[in-house]
Amino acid sequence: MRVLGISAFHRDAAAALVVDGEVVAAAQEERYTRKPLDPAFPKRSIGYCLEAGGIGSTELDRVVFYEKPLKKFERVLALHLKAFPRSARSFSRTLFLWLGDRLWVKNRIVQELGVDSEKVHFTEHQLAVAANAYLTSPFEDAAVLTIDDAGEWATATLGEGKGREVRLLTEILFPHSLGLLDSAVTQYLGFVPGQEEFKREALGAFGTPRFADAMRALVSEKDGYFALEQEPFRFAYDSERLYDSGLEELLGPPRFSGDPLLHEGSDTRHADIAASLQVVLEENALKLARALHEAVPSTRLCFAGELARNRTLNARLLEEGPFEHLGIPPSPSKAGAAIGAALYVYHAENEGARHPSPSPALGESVDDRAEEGARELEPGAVSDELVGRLERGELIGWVRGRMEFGPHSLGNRSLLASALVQEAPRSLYAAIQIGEPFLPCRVALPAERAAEYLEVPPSANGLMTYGLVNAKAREALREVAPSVVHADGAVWPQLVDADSDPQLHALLTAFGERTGHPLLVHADFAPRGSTLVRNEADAVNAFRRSNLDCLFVESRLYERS
Amino acid sequence: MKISQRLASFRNRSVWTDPIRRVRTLESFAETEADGGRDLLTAARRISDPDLRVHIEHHAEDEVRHARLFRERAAELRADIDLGSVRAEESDSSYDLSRGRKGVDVDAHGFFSASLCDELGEVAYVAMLHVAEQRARDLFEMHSHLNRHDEKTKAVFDEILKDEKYHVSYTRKFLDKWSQSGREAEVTEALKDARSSRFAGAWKRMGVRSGAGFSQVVLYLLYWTLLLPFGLISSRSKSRPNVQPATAKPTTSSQY
Repeated sequence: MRVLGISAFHRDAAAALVVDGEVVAAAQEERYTRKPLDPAFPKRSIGYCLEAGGIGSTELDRVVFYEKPLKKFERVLALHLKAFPRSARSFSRTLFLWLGDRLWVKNRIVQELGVDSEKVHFTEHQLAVAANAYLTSPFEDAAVLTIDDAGEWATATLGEGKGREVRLLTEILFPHSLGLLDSAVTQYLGFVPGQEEFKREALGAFGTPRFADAMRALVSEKDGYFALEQEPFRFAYDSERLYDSGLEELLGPPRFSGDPLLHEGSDTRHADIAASLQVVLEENALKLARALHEAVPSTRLCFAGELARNRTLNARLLEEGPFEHLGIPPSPSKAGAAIGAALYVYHAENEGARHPSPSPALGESVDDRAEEGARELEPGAVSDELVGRLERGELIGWVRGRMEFGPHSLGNRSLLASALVQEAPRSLYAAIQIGEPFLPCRVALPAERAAEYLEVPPSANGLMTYGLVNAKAREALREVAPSVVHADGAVWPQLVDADSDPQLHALLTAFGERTGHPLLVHADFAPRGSTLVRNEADAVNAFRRSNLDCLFVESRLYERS
Repeated sequence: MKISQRLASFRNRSVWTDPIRRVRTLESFAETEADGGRDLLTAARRISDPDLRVHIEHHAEDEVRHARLFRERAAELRADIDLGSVRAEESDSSYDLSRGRKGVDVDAHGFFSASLCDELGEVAYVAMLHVAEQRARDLFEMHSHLNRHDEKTKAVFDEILKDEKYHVSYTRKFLDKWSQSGREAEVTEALKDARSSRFAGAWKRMGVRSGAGFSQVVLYLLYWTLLLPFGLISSRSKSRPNVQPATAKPTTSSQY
């Protein structure tokens, strides 16, 4: 059975193809349009998935959209009316969008793909997110938690997975949303909501949570679950400005993009606000996890949604949560829901076995066409050349194999530098014109050497392979690579094992043999304002625009002329 | 000035009277020119005609120089008004005159990603470049005129305009050369496509914008008339609970 999953019209549109229960291809539309988190109907991603699966659209048995448009429209309409008359301006804008395309998803799919309308199905948003978490996990049964910004009505759900089945038990309803609380404060701090929550999280490492009590007052407890105060927020009826004057009264004047960022020195107000929100998000996520554990007393938790991208929160959930094992998919939010939607429908209609833990390398391969200026290396010489250059402190682009699905590259569309060089993360980001000094970089290291440099909680290895959880740095790491340690003493690690990525593992090992420490700074090969590079031409173009020292694409080397 | 230039001039006047927008606009021009230079250099590597390749490489160098001229003038103005450390890349898109609207594949100056050269072939690429450079020339003439009271900024535009005229002329020369070598139909078609895609694009954008504006006015009126009683009732009604049990067996065939 061939099932195509689609997510679109919110952000990070994507498509995924499931054949007989196995995810064979998945791609995000942003990689084709070069617009970060592009919400447009993922025409190009669908085209790639079908090509990778070697099928035409009419051969699909099901096309599954990741949410229920009419249910979501009901919520939009109801909350605009509820906010009467404050919603006047937003109403016309929002309704225009809905009447323009979002209400006609089924027709659009039928038209674009030429499939029979009966083949088009719809899952609920949080169900698709939950299915992505559980059905791709290696667990045979688990409690399932989603904490998201918004779907139809549900913003967070508690559920369970057993065998091939995933079901939701309890839903927290809009506008009570921890994801939107995060987005509102992200916007208040001058970042792009729905896109730059990771910057808010990173900023928090520089602050102290002195506004935590003020933030806690925003999130009360009602009927055993969190409920958000609505006065300080507008997101229930306005998707452009998420907070209201109430938040300014509580926290002081907001920061706008371009204003100075207060995170170091005598005034760290912005970092303190970010840190305070972080504490409140973690506390509420833990409460939800405990409530879920009471309802589903499993030792395993599958977690997804926008907040599952928050590595600090994930680390706390792992350390203090009631579950022994935590599973998070590499793409835990909107794009990943395309996989979840397809898998859910496949398993609802079939008896076939689950194929857990698909590799995130589900996208396009590097095309085998060298660009001008390439120097072909002997296959065995690539690693030596890479290690030598890294040792000399060069900043390197590395592109190989299939493009990864999800927010980050795990090694196939990457930037690398020696972590032993002073200020390596900052230099690496500066080389691709990313200038925020507070943004952390990943440090990649072999899984078997992790305990020397990091305090790794039990059962965290899997999560650290995907770079989904922060860890505390040990003294050894602080001594040899202080610039990868964040202001709060945490590190963003990516553990690499010889089975899942033998090439990167061998590179780290060889680098470790030469320098004594197998530590590389690892960042996404995504120039400022753009997305991860897709193919060789993209990579070479980005390289020419960057200040990187060289670029490796498979066995080809590009140098500065 | 052409009518289209007059209209654009009217629309863009406020950009040059606001000191902050002036700086950001010049910085965004600098960024676009620098990007364009790099794109052209990449495209030049794909060009088989050695003579054309030299011109495109020269063109790329010009763009890099233009970027420097814009950047330097922006820095001077920035110092004059003590703007602080706001960088061009943080500039609001509304200041970003040079790039056109987000989501448009081709920016207003007319540079395209290098892969377009592969997709279109040399003739169509140069035709698009020619049409884009004509537009850039008109655009910079307008900005030069709007800056007639600021000699230094005007001098920057005038200096760049000389190069733009050369870019229009060398692209024309190659199109003529191809026409005379028996590829006239191909050149005519390519120029037609380049012009119509711009015209159609502008027409489509105008249509979408005016259609969207009109629809939103209608919806706004609906809000205050038809929906008013429902809104009043709804705003006084009890809120939904914050939590509920999930649907036991949700169906996937329904959109609700």
